[in-house]
Amino acid sequence: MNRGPSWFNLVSLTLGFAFLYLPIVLLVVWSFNASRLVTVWGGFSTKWYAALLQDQQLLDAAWVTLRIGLMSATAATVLGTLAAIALVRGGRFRGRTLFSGMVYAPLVMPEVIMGLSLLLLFVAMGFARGFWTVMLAHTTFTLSYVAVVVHSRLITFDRLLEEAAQDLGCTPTQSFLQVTLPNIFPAVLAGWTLAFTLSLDDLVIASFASGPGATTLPMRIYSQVRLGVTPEINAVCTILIAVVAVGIICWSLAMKWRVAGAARLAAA
Amino acid sequence: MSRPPAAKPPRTQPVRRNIGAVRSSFAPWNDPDATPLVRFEGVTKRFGDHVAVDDISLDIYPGEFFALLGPSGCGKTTLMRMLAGFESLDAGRITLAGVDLAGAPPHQRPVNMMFQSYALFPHLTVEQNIAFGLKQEGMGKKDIAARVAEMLALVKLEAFARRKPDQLSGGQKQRVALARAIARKPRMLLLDEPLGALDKKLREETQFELMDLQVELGVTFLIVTHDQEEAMVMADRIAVMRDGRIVQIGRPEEVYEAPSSRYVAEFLGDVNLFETRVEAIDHPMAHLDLAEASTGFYVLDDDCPAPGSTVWLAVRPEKMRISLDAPPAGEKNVLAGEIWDIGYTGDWTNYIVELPGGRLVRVAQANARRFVDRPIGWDDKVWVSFDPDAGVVLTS
Repeated sequence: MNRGPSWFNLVSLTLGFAFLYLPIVLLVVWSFNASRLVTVWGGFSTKWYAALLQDQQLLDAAWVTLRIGLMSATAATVLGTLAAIALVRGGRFRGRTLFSGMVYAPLVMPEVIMGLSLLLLFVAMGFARGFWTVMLAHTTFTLSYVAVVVHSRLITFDRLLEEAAQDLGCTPTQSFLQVTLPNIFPAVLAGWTLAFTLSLDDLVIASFASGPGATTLPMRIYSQVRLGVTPEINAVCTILIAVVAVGIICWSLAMKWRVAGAARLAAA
Repeated sequence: MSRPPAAKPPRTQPVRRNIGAVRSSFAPWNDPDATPLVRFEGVTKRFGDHVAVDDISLDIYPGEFFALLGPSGCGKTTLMRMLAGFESLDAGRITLAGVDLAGAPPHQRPVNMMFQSYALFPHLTVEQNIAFGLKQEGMGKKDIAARVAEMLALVKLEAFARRKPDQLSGGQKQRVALARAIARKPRMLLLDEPLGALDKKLREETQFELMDLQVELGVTFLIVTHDQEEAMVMADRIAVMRDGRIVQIGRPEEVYEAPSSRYVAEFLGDVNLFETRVEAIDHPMAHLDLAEASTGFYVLDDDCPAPGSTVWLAVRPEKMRISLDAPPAGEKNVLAGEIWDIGYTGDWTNYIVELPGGRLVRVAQANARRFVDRPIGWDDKVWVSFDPDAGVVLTS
């Protein structure tokens, strides 16, 4: 029996990956182009990366994005986790279905509508738009993603573990912190990573919620691209891709080591 | 393969004798001056329209090994969870050592529970699991380490201290759960179906270990189980439950040999029930009328109602005799029939005998000999008989 992949599988795999990654590969390749013209290859060069470090506007935008990402992801993780707990543990409280629907609605709601509604809210409340409004907006829309991830972990979590902890002298709060949280932590961390990534590359909602002095990296890139794609943009995008890729690789390696470590211990 | 080899510990002779002595003379429930450790007084619990626990009153004495026995859904687990503090009471009260437990959350109650699924903390090692409850008490690091070592030695898991629960076999998990529950030296240990997840051999070994441990520690045990054998082997007293009520409380031999109702007789082991009418009472014997028995039944008249009443005679299969030869004429309590089915289990053989009216009677016989001259086979004509004191007359 032929155990290797068939021709059909190989071709569809290649086409699929090409579809996904060809644009990214192109972008990475062009970022090392010595020529200023985007479509003409002028030899290998890293000068655009050096030029990046001189572009204060781009650096500022990156810093803003990073801070917004860290803060909104953390806030969304706390709130999303609490929402997930309420959904799983709250029992059949009145309006539970409505609540769960409302928590998950932002997942499918068009970003334009979210951005617009947030803008209207900020204007109505007289909030000066800027860094904090973007942070709040990102917390709002990434919260749902965290809630989904944590919720799916929580429903498989054995509640008896909490009872056991209480039986052994823990208050409900202590049992949550000492037993539930360590066990659902991978999901919470995954939720945080997801929220951070979403915040990092959001353009639409940030554009609505932002104000003077709070330009995020995607906004900056977008506005520059409208004036024409420059190799600098390719370089900054390549760096972004590298950061995300390194993060994902570290994460999966850590997971692998944990599994391998457990298997090794079990075999011993 | 994952089971610990030779789990049975070498017990010294004095300990064994001691347990026997303690067991046979232990009966505080008969002592009017004894104070119970736990009192359930008119305890009731409803879930919606369903009454899970219905007005139960029950005393459990210090040092007792008490079993709540019943089918699933009879309220036994709910009763235990109320004692642990995980369920509220709709009526009645529970006192422990004279203190009303109402309003005390689970973490403040001096009882510990061993969960059916063990509920070991998967993110902690064996020793961290055992130390968990001690940490909550604020015990010092050194004392915790000493106590954990003591517990590990007690359940013989020293070699597994640094493993995580998912690297343990079922039997090992059970021991960790036990060690974790007794580490805090609770006034009372609650065991929810403690042996349910173990295989048969291991279950039997563990039963005796639990009994030894209970005497060694002097802790009161309350066990919830649906397995009558488990309850009978281990418990000092058994409460048989049905639909949220206790139908009988007694020593294992009391509930088995003197069941108070057909339900108890049928729940504990096998039983043949004959619906009959009391013909006459000739103290100390009662004469019961039964179509299938030519001479009727003559049994002891304990608790037998007046002639004319309908009663049920309960006879355990192992208290009946089966024979291919007709008994001497005039012998009482004889039923003639044909073999309907034979169940050979090695140590015992269960014969199902069909009486002329179509009724089936179960007779169990110990296979005391390796060979018999004429084994009983299918469709053989047989005679079934029992002694006058073998049956119990039941009115409900």
